Amino acid sequence: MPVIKEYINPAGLRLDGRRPNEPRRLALEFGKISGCDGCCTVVSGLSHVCATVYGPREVSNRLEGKYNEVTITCDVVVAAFAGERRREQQRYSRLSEDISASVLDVARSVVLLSQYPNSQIHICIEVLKQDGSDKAACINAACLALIDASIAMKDVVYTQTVGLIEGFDVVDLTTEEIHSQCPSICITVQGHDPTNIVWMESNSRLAPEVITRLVKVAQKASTDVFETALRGPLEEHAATVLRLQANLGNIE
Amino acid sequence: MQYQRAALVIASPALTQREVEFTKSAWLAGLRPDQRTAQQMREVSVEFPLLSRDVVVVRCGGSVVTAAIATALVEPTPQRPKHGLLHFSVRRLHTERDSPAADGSTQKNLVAFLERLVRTGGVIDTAGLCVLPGQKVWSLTVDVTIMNDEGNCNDAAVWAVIALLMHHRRPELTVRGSSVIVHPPHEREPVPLSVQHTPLPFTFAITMAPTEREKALNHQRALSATGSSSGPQPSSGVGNSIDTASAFAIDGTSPQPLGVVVDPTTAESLAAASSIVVAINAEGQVCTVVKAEGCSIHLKDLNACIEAAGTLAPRVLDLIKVAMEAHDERRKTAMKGQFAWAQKRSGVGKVEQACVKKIKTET
Repeated sequence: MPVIKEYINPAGLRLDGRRPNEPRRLALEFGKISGCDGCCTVVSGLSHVCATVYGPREVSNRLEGKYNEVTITCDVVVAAFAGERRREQQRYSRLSEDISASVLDVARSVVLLSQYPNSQIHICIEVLKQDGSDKAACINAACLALIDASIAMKDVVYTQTVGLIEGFDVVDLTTEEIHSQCPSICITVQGHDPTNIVWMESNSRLAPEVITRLVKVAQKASTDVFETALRGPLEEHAATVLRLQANLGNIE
Repeated sequence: MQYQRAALVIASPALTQREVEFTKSAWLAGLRPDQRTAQQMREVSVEFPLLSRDVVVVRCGGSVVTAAIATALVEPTPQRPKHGLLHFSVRRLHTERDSPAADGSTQKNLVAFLERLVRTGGVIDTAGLCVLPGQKVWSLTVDVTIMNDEGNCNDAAVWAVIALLMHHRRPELTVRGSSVIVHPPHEREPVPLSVQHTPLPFTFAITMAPTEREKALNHQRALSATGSSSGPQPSSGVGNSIDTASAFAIDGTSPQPLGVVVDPTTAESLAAASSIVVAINAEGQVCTVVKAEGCSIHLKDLNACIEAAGTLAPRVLDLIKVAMEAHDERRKTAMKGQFAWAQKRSGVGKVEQACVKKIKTET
């Protein structure tokens, strides 16, 4: 007799005690690593991702430089101790390349490419602890690190996964909920206008109306996350940067 | 249709830029550079060129993709001892337009997409490929070769893989205890693979960002309003002609700029602001949605893409099934022709006549 796990109990709570439309707690930390132009550590629930940005700098490979836009490269490293099971320490794996391609898609969509011709922006992402969607966490960390590096961008973006479990629209899936093979999408929306979809990926079999419903749920949840979890830290970070610039002005 | 390869080489960035500008101006006028409608695909053909069921060729306009499959009995991985193996490899013939810096990122992306769609999406039931758990499983290796690239090669490649998985037959096995007997095709009929569903992807190009599209629409409305505002003029010769022109402008409906186009060519891919890939299976379910880099889109654009893909998927699936039936008939004809010599029994008859003569002489 197969045991079917109860992902949402009769009281309407998930396995970790959240409501279906409640995202995990998000903690941001800027400027933790020195020697790079931008750095951001994102702790979302149990997942821990650190992203650093180097650049805009001169291209390391002249053949890759473009005369009219910047070249963005991305390296993703998943730590051996990140998941439940210890994995082999390899520089490039299928998972890393897949995450890297997605991060590049979002970064190229958001960064104003024509502002830095013949330059290169290099993003290094390290996944220290895996929980939930690795792509969403890495994209969030990379975009926030780009903000910390003061790179010209169109908007702040937020990525999250939305799934359909037992008839409930569930946002910000954890690893256990992802393993339930529920239909889910991973979507990136802009901060000031959540109706703008920057990036989207879905690998489940869904009816078209279910996709529409999940996209709307994701946009509404993103609005809440921007208001509660992202606006405050970003404004504090901007105030800190402006204060440092004012101090430098006084010294000069 | 004769594909003239040399004439279509994009020789320099300047020519590419001219093509991109022409494509964008055509989209603003509501047209496409090759006179297709927004939801019209190029001529698609699916063909199994060899008598064996291992090779397929898919053509989409000028893009040609070839896929081949091979099956083998191998030892499974220790992590998943009861599942068969699936390998995809994509390679591209080198053309003069490829720059030296072009790495294999497009091939890697296509391999990752195939892995997600076929393996993770559950097209092939890998548990059904298990023969002896932990000892012998079937391994499927699909090699995709992009022979010519004139846009939309990823879709053609996935169609080729789906057609190949539907049409391929693996040898039948007899398992007694721990011994496995593989029967060649002339002993027992090969068995098809268990294909659960058939997702067919379609790539859509987003011509411009939604805000720019609204600006273009407002601009056209302003032009129409200016034309209509010049209507009330005094009745004179020049006035009559102006009235006629303004009446014609009012009557004629100005074409709206295109928002979403299907099956983009190379120039359209370069000119597009963004692209969406939607994979729909035969039951109308959406198996994969991928929105790549570029401008942001709205939900109505996404719904339009899904609706258009839902219309196009049955046609491509019908093409694949028709090609499979035609190939089966061609195989039967070839098999019959292979033994046509046995139906002419003149030599055997002569020998029989000689025997009959001998018998008569003896009696």
